[in-house]
Amino acid sequence: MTWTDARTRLMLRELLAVVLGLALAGCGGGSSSTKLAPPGAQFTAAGQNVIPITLDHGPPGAAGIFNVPYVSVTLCRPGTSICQTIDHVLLDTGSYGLRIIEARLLDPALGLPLSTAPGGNPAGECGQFFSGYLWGGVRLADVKLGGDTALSLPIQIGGDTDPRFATVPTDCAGLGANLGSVRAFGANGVLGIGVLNEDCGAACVTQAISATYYACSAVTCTASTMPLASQVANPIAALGANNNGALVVLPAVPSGGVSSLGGSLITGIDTQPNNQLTTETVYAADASGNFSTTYRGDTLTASFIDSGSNVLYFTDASLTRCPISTLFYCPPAPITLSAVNTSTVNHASGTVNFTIEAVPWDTNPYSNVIAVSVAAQLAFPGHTRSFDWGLPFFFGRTVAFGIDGRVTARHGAGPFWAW
Amino acid sequence: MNPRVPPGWAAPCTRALMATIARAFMLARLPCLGLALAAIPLMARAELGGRAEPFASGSMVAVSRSVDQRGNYAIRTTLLGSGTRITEYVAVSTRAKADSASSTEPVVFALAWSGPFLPDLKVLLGAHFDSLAAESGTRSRAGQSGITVNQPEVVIRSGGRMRAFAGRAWLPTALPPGFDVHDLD
Repeated sequence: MTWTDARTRLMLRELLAVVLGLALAGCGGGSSSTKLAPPGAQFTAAGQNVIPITLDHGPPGAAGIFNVPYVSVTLCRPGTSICQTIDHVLLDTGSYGLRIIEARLLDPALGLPLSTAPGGNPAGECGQFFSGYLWGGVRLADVKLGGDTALSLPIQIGGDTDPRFATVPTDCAGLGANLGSVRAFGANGVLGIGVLNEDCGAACVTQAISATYYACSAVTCTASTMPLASQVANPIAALGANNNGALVVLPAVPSGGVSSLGGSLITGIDTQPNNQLTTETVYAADASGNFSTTYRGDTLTASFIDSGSNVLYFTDASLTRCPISTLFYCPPAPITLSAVNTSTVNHASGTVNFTIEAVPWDTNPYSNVIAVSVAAQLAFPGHTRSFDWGLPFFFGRTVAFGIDGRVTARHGAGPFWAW
Repeated sequence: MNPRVPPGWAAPCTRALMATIARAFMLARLPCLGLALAAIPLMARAELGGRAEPFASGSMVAVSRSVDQRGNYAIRTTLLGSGTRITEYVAVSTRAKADSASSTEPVVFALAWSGPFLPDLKVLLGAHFDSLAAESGTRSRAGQSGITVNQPEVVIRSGGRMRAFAGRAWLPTALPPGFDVHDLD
């Protein structure tokens, strides 16, 4: 098996590292086979519109984490100074909106008010992820990112304790596994800040779409329409300033990987001295947030950049697979590959050279690597049109994204990616 | 293991097969919008490995049908009101029955979906949904973009991200001759 193996190995290696550490302490000696990765670089941008990004082992309860960028987000009851900071929130350019994975993470004193569906009943939501669903209520919070605040923003609370959300609707449960736990999700929350505004968009304004929004009474939850302003939406777009996009800056990761890494999320584009785009090329994205990637002669028209994907995902039958984590690629030595990205909208085009290496834990069960440039085969070999530029794409780059419909001073309106 | 499609099945049986599939698709012409749905709580029954019965999940805006060049299977594409497209691949499959006799009936042997929202996979995958849920329950969402189920009886690929999902599923032992899973699109 594949993904599961990678995770199991990861958990195993952590256990072994502890055991080995104890053994070594007892023996008073070291071993060349226990080579550990060094700490990585820390980059911190200057400015009030900066949110630190941390790569570490994740929150308590998460396991087998690597290449996952976390931020801290502060929530306040709207219009008050009653606030709470949630750590280990996944920075995800592949979703839209802020979600807290488990209601127990919130201090009851925070008392976030319920958001309502048309008709006045509390709004429930089925957050859709490829492997399952996050069920819970929609509540309003003032969301602070750096020095700016999104006022009274609808956010989702997984496992909301209001009794009207007690039962997962049947069509929501039909999406897959219940992701409403820190362990299942690998994070305390997810900060969805990609190139689009809402998690549903115009479709939910006019139709009650199955397994999206609900109006929840004391009796049952019923599929509901939801106005744009009431949808769980991209927090950056709702900030009082620096709200037209953002930059993600992560340091380079050397071959062999590192045991830690720090970077910056800088909100706004062309609004402050620290978020000016200079040498970057702007790739206008299509309505799904995609662009085209040409790799080894294949043109993949539904390609995207996803900080929530922990490796690069693409299909290349010529690359050696890992012996244990068989969906991952394990080139005998680090290999530099090349692809051409092209916007199907503004036709901007550029070559990306990227280096991947074998996953460390396949050969070194004691690996402490938390950030490494690795790749895996896509979930749909042979019949996908995607190149998923996951987190390793961000290493050593400034990656900017402009939000749908938001204008920048010098680089037009989103949705776009720039690097 | 279920037997593969019997030898010599394709050519002599094509006409009868197409008639059978056509009948199955006639059923699909039942009212599937608005009040009719609200009044009659139809379940979507065209599930993987099940008969090609009326598909009625959510509001449909378009249904199209086609047959592959050699007449080995039929394709029904349904565009849901949400913008998500579901493609069902239907062929006559020989099913072993408990009394050791066999019967033929149109069976959905493969599925593809794509669009801004996930379809109700519990309905579409039928008995195989549990395999998907079990697999996705074993890993973190953080850091991943797809899920794979590889079992002798079913293969499922599901992936994507918010507002852009896609997936495929097929029954390896029920594929008609000449069908290439790479064509699932």
